Amino acid sequence: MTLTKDVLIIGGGISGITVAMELAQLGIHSAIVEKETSLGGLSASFCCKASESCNKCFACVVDKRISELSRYPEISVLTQTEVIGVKGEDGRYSVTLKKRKERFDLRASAIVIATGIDPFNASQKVEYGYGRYKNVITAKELDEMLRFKGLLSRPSDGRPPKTIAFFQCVGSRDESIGNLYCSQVCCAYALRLIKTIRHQYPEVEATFLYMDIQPAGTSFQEFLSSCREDKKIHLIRSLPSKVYHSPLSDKLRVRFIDPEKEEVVEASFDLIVLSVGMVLSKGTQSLTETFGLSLTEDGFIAPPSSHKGLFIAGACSGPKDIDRSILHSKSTAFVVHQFLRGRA
Amino acid sequence: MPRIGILIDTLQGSVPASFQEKLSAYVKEFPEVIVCFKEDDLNSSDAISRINRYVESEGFDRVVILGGSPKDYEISFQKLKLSLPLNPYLFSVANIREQALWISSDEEMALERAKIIISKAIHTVNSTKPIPTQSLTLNPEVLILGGGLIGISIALDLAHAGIRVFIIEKEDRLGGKAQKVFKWLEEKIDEVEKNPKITVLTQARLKRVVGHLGRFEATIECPDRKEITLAASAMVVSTGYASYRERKGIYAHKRVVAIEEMEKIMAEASGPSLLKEGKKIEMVTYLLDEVNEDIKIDSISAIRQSLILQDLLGCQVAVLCKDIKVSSNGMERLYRRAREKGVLFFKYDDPPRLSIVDGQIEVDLKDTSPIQKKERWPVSILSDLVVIGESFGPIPEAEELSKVLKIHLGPRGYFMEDNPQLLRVRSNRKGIFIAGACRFPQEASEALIEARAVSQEIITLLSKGTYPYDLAVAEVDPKKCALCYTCPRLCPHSAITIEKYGDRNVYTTPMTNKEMKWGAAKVDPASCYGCGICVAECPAKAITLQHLTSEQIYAQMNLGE
Amino acid sequence: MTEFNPKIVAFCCDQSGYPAADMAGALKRKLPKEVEIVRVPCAGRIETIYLIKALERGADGVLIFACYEDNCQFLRGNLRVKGRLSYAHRMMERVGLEKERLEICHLATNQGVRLAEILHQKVEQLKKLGPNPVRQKK
Repeated sequence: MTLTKDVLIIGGGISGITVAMELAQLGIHSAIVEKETSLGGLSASFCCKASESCNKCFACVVDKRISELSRYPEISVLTQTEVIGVKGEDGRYSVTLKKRKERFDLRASAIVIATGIDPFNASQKVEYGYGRYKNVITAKELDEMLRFKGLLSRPSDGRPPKTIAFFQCVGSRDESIGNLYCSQVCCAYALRLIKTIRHQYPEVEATFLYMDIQPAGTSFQEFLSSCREDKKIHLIRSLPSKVYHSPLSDKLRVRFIDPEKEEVVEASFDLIVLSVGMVLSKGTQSLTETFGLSLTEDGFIAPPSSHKGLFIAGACSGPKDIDRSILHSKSTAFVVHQFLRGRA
Repeated sequence: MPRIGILIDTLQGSVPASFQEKLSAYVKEFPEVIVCFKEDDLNSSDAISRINRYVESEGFDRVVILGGSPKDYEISFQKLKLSLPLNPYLFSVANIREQALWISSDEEMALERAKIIISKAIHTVNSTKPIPTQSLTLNPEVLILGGGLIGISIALDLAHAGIRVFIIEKEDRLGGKAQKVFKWLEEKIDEVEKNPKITVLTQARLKRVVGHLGRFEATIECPDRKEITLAASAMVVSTGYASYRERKGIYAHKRVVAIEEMEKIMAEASGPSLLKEGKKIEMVTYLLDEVNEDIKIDSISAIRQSLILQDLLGCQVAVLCKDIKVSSNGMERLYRRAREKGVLFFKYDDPPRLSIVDGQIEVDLKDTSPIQKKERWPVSILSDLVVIGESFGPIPEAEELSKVLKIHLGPRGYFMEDNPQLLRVRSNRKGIFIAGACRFPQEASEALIEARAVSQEIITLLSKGTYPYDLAVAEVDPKKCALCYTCPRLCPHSAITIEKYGDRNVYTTPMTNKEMKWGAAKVDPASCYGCGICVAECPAKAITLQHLTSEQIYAQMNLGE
Repeated sequence: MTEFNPKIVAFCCDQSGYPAADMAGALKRKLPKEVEIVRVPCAGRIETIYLIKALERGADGVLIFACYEDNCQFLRGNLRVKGRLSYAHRMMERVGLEKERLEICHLATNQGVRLAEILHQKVEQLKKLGPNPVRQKK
C-alpha cells in the first residue's frame, strides 16, 4: 500500500496540527503521523490556568484547534504510526511508516518535522528526590491532576496540600546535567499554575524558588505584579540544594539560601512541584539521523541548511510555549507553501 | 409542514442499540418526522454523499442527526465548501451522547434528557429558514503601515507570493529602528525598492480608512499634502515601538548613554580599545531593568555588547539587572561565555544610586545574588561609561491610528488587548493584522517569525481570490433602527457602520411631502462573526441573528410559556 | 413528598461552556438531573430579558457559562453580559428574588470537570434556597 500526499507532517501536537490546518486552507493535502493514540501531544495535557481572568496560557486554544481538525478533508491523521525510514531527496520523498505491525509507504513532496519536546526527566536531579518521594511531582503531573481530576491533592495521602514549593530551572540553565539553555516557558508556566491554584484554593500558600524570572508575553508585567502583591505567594530568588523527607509528618524539608535572612534555611512543604525544562522529544534524535539533520548545541533540531523539502516546526527547533509554537508553525507553513509553489 | 428525516449516528457502538431503538420510537411521535435511519460515522467526510442519497430517495427537506457533539458535525456541514443537498442551517444535531447518555447516572434519566434534546433539535430545524451563502471578491492587494524590519519582511514575503503591496512609511526612508542594528537590512531595502510588486510611500500618513475586509479604501497624505486613495483587501499594522527615555539629572551626563547609542559607539570603535574624547574607557556599567522589566531585548543586547567590550575592546564590564533575561535561543550560553570572559553580573532589588566622582560615574548597589551573609558586600563601581536600558512604549500616533483603523488598543497603549483567541497577529477587525513591536516589543528573531505568520494568514485569506461567507450574521432592520449609535460603538469587530442604504429607509415628511433618506446602522456581513452582542444590546430590537432568534432561545430553555 | 430537584437553565457560550459540557460528558462526569443547556454563540448574545424570563417561567436557578475575561473569542461579549447580569440582579432585588439564583461563571473550553462541579454546587445551594417562589405561585 502506498499513499501519496503533498506534505507529510511528523508529530500531531499543536505545531503539527497548525501546519496541517494552515496548509489545508491553501488546498494542500497532508498526512499527520502521530505515534500516540490521539492528537494533541504534550500541549493537550495542560489545564486552563485562569484565575479571576485569563492568564494567557493558551491551553484552550489547543483544545479548540483539535476539535476543528475534522473540518478539513485535506488532512489525514495516522495515529499510532511511526516513521521507519526515508528514501529519495529534494522534494521527492518516500517515507516508510509502521502502524502497529503493518508497514506502508507514503510519498510526499515535503516533510515537516514537528515532534515537539518532552519534559525533562526530573529523576536525574537526584537531590530533589523525584521518584523517591511521592509528594515531589513535576509541574506537568500537577497540570494533569488539575485538568483531569479537577482537584489538588497529595499523591501520598490524597489530602489537599497547604504549602507548595515550586522549584524552577529543573533541567534548564544547568550545566551539571548538560542543559545549558533556558527553557523559556517555565517561569510563566509555574506562576500561572500558582495563580490558578491560589484562586481555586485560597488557603494554599505557594513558594516560588527561582534564579531569574523570564518574561513571557504582552501582559506579563501586570501578571507578575499581581503575583507579587499576593501575600501568600513567596517569590524567592534562590534555588534549593536538597530535599529531605520527614516520615513522621510526611512533610518535605527543603534547604536553600534565604536572601532576606542571608543564610541557609530549612523550610517544610506539603508538596513540591518541579518546573521541569524542555528536552527534545524521545525518538526525535533517531529521526534526525534518518533525515540527515543535525542538532544544535542545545540538543534541538538545527534548521536545515537549504530548502530541499525538509522543514521544522514548533518546539523541536528550540523551547517554545504554545503561543510561539503556533506562530512558528504558521511561519513554517508559509515556507512549505512557497516551496511547493516553486516546484509546481 | 416540514418533512424531517432523522438519522441516528451509531457512533461506533458508543450508543447502545436498545437506547437507539427507544429513541427511534420516540421520534416517530412527531408528525413532521417522516423517516428514521441508522448510519455509521456521520461526521466523516463521505457522510455527505450518504445523506444526499437519503434526501433524494426519501424526499425530506430537513435533517436531525442524533449523535455526538454538534461541533463535530456542524464543522463538516456548515462550512461552505461542501456541496450539500440541503441548506446547512436545515440540519440540526441532537447531542444524545455527551449531553444525555454520558452525563446521566442511569438510562432512564439519559432517555429523558435525550428526548428533551431531540425535541429541541426538531424545534430548531422547524423554525429555521435556509440561510444563503455569498462571496466577496478579494484582489491581491495589501497595505502595510510601517516600513521597518517587520513591514519590509512581510512585504517581500507577500510580493514573492504574487501580491501587490503598498508600504506607508512616515519617515523619509525605510528601515525604522532596525537599520542601526542589522546591516543586512540594507540589502532587503534594496530588494523592496527594486520589486515591481511593491510601492513605497515615504513621509506618508494614513488619514482615513473606509470599508471593510476586501474593500478597504485608505486615504494617504503624501509629503506635498496631496492625498491619494488606495484600495486594499487586507492591511497590516507594523508601526513598531517608540523609545523615549527621559534624560534628566545624572542621566543627562555625557558618560551615560543608551544601549542604542552604545551600538553606534562600538561600531565606530576601531580596537584595541574604546576611546571617548581621546581617553580610554576602562569600566563600562550596564544598568538594566529600571523600566520595562518584562522586555528582554535590553538583556540580550547588553550581554552581546559586553562580550565584545570585554573581549575585543579591553574594557571591564559590569551588568546590573533585576533578572537576567536569557529566554531566547542560545542566550544562556552567551551569558555563561560573558561570565567566563570576566563580565560581572549583579542583581538588585532597590534601584542603584548614581553619583559623579571626579568626572566618572559611581554606581552603588546592594547585590541580591544569593550568597551567604559573610560573603556579602555593598558594591560600588566607578565607571567611565554607564549604559542604560531603553524605555519601550507605543508610538505616539498609536491612539490616532487606532481610531482611523477602528482597532483596539491594549491597556498599555500598544495595539490590541492580550487575548489568546487573536493568536497574536489578528486584530479585532477581519482583514487587519498586527505584527511586531506595535503589539509588543520583542526580540527581532521572534518578531520575524510573527511577521511570517502574518504573511501566512494573508496568503490564506487572499489565495482563493474570494471570501465566502454565509448570512448567519447580524442583520439590521433599517425601519426599526433609531440611529442611536449603540451598535457601531459596541461591535467588537467594527463591522457596523451608519449608512444610507436601500429604499427602505425613506421617510416622507408630512408637511412638505418631501422624501428624506435617513441613515441606519448596517452590518457588513463579511466582517461580522455572528456573536450577537449587538442583537442583545439594540434598544429598538432592530437587529436579529437569523440562525438564532429569541424564540429559538426560549424554546431551548424548555420552560413553557 | 418528592425530592426537590432544582431546575437550572444554563446558558452556554459556544466557545467555552458548550464544549466544556461536551467534555464533561466525554469524561463521564454526571450532571444534575434538571439542567437545561441553552447554546449561544457568545455570552454577549444573552439578553437581560432571557435571564428574567427564565426565572419568571419557573427556573430555580440561571447560570451563564462564559469565557474568562481577556479570552472571549469576540473580545467583549463576556464583559457585556456581565453588565446585563448586574442589571438583572437589581431587578431581582426589587421583586425579592435571591441573587444566588442568577450567576455568571467563567470557564475555558477544556474545563469540563469544573463545569460539572459548578452545576452540582449550584444544585446544593438551590436546594437550600428552596424552589423559585415564582414557580410556587403558578
